[in-house]
Amino acid sequence: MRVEVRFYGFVRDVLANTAFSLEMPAGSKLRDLLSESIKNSSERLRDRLFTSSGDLEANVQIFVGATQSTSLEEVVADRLESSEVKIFVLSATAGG
Amino acid sequence: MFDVVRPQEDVWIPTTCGLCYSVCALKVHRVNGTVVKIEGNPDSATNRGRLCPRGVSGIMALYNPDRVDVPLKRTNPQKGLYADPGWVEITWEEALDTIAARLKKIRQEDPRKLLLTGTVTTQDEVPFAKIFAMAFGTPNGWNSGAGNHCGTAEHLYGGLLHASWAKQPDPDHCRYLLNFGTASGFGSYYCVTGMSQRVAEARVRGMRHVAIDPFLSPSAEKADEWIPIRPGTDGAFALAMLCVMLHELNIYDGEYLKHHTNAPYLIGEDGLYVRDVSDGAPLVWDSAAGMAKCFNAADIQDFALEGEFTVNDAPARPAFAVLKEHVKPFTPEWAESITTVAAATIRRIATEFSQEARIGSTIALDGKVLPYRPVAVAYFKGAQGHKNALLNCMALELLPEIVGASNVPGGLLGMNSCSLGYPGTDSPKWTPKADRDGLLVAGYWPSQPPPYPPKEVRKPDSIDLRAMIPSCPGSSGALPVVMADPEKFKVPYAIEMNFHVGANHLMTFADPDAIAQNFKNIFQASFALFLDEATYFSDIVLPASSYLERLSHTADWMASNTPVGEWCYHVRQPVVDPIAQRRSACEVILELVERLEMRDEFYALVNLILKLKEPHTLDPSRFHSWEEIVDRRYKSLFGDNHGLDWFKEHGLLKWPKKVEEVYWKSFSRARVPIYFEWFKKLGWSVRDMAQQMEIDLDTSAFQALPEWRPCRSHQENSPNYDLYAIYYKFPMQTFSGTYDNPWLDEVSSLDRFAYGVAINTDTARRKGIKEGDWIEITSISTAKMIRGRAALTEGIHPEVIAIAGCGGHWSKYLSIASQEGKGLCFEWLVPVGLDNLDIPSLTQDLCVKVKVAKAG
Repeated sequence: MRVEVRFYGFVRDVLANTAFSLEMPAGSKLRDLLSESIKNSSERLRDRLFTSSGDLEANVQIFVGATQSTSLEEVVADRLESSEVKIFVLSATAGG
Repeated sequence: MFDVVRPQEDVWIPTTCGLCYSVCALKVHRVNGTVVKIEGNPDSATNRGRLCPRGVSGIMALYNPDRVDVPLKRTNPQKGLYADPGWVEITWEEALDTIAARLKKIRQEDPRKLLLTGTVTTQDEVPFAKIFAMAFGTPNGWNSGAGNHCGTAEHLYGGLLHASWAKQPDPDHCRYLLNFGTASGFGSYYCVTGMSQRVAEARVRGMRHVAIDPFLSPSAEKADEWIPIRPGTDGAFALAMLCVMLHELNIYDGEYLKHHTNAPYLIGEDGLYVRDVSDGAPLVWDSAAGMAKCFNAADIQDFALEGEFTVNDAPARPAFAVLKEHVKPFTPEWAESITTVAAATIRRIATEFSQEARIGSTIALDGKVLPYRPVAVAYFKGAQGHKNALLNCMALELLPEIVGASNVPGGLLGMNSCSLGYPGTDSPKWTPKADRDGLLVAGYWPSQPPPYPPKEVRKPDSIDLRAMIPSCPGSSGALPVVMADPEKFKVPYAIEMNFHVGANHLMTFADPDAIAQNFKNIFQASFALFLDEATYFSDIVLPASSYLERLSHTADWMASNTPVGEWCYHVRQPVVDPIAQRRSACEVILELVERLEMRDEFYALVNLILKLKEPHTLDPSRFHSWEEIVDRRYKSLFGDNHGLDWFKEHGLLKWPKKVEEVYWKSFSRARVPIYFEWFKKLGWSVRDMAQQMEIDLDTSAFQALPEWRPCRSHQENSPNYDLYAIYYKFPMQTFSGTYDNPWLDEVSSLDRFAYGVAINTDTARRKGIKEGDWIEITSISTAKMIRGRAALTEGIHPEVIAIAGCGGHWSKYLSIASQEGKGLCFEWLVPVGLDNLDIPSLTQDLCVKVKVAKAG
């Protein structure tokens, strides 16, 4: 299963390429996809995506196709409406 | 011979004000293409047709001859506070070519080298610029309000206790307002004009207003009672009130504490929650069952608030019992020597407040019976702008929580914590939620993510220490410290460019000399209305359109709407075409996106953050104009019938607020902390990280319960430096941005406090100072001196001088503001440094000791 992965936001300093394509086994979960993305790019990406206990950071949002994902345990193929997964790493630039 | 007489244009155009962050609705009268008058829009629920002096004066901001009309570049390579940049006119093409080239280089090297600075009066442009910064790949931003204007720690508690950036007393039902030094409801803060009317009506209705403030300020002078207090000691006053309430009066709202706070959560000897061994949930003690249960167990018959129990073979007490014992030593007598307020006065105020809370009473609204707790506590920069901000604010926040006056009728209300959306589309929608510990998580927060649950402590990756200290809720006071020496803080890059959207950061944080050091060696591109002091450090200045010349949908946000009554969403639209070569920052950002070839990333983030819905999402295969984006935002929120054209014609869309939105607490399962357990744990993590990073950081203020700690100024006791200098907001001016307005100058000149220095009559006499004398004020912390005219009054604490607003400009390009005697720049007195910050919230301390003498 080929998945197009696109990262947006506060990641450019840790990713040489913010868009790439990954071959994932059938039944892969989003957690697997992110792990593979880290392996494929940079270990520094892990800190941007996960807490030390392995939860998704609160400022990270993932969309499979047009639908926002709510769990890393979702099987990508179950939800796949297109071959694209978008991962947004939002940064809190300033306040009031 | 005469030309044919053309019909006279004579129109009134609905739009919004942009001279502060309250977003009052306007009707602008345009005749033959010229704005001749600005009035409040009576249709708006925000300001109900009224305007403050600033709003009326906007016409002069539009036509001020000091405005920047063309793109400029500097010719003087030397940057300094007083070094004339030597501006020359350039084309827009050259300006954008230069800026885009810089941005491209930085994005290739390391996008974090870009800093975004803005301010809250560019509230409609900065959010869009933030999306740009995010897509660019930088986490670095700074609102200049982080200095003397912003309520940093106050916003933190807004998020933790009210699911909201800001909060207000319930103007419809409050009967007793304790106002710790804020002009909320009187002349500043959010929804200023609307709340001023509503609070005035509340006073007519009989609401008692007690102002606790070093200065008989424009708000304190409207109080039923003014209690002068030593600056920075509000927390001690509040602690003493808590002591009286819990130990002398035994008044607290037990039902509220049991069901809406973490008061029953069991606390172990280590100060942390006692948790269930299997699922980790915090435990409570069920008095009826005589056993510990998870806080959310369905069969709890009665939550214990007091007592000591053995749980998991160790002693444990409910958080309320720990709090109660904690505040016992903080008697009014203890507080008297700190605050200078008589113990009997504190005791009386605590009694009045507690009794007026009417614990146990209810009120029926729209057929729903709700608790009625008609007391509130208001504070903002004055009480919280201190080194002990986190703990000061905590004590103040606990007052309404203990009596249950939080987000119920009569009490303290979050400014729109809950939005169920416009009927028909259910947008915009946000509701407070509970995390796995049962504690409140804000449904909406202006930046990502909300302060609770706290993010993990990380090594510094931004220039403001917020990764390491995630309890800072907004702009960080650490930014100028880290920016000056990133290596010391192990930040692996230095800022190279400031993308500057309308802030005057040189005058609105602290010592301008120290701030100048940070900005003199970086490239700065500025959208500017005026060539103010910040632009002395700009390489390129772009002529910004004012709020009367530009389009936006983002002027409204959660804290611009009134907390009661009706929701109201407005349009900000140009009432005249931009004069000369002025342009909207949002339009220019879209052009830069094209030049940087980052359309795909930018549009994806715009779709996400503006919550654009199909079929209104942006398509990266083609360019979308700013007008189109605004239209799509409105349609995504309010349906296809309410696009930009509809808003341009009607000006605003409003609908009634539901009881469940305004008084949401009774309908929510989320609990709020009265014991801030996670602060304690976070403090340990911050301490460990600081040690690992070899950063000298005092983390002792990360406490679960309030204390009073002295500010630097309380400990700087030199015989000559015998007075405290404080800053306060003045209703005639907004920050530093309005001092060049001739109408506001005229009206300010009529008030001796607007440009003068308030000093106690007896204190002045002792120093040989008479009314109107020029006096010199020297800071013990910065050794800098500022000058102003003495305004003698008995309405100020004898240990204090008070300076209004943010005047004292020196830019040669501001023909009115930079004249001598047009106010003082308080920031010269305030040092920059970590030792001048409240570390948990990264709030700047504005309490400073000064020497005052008659000018020679």
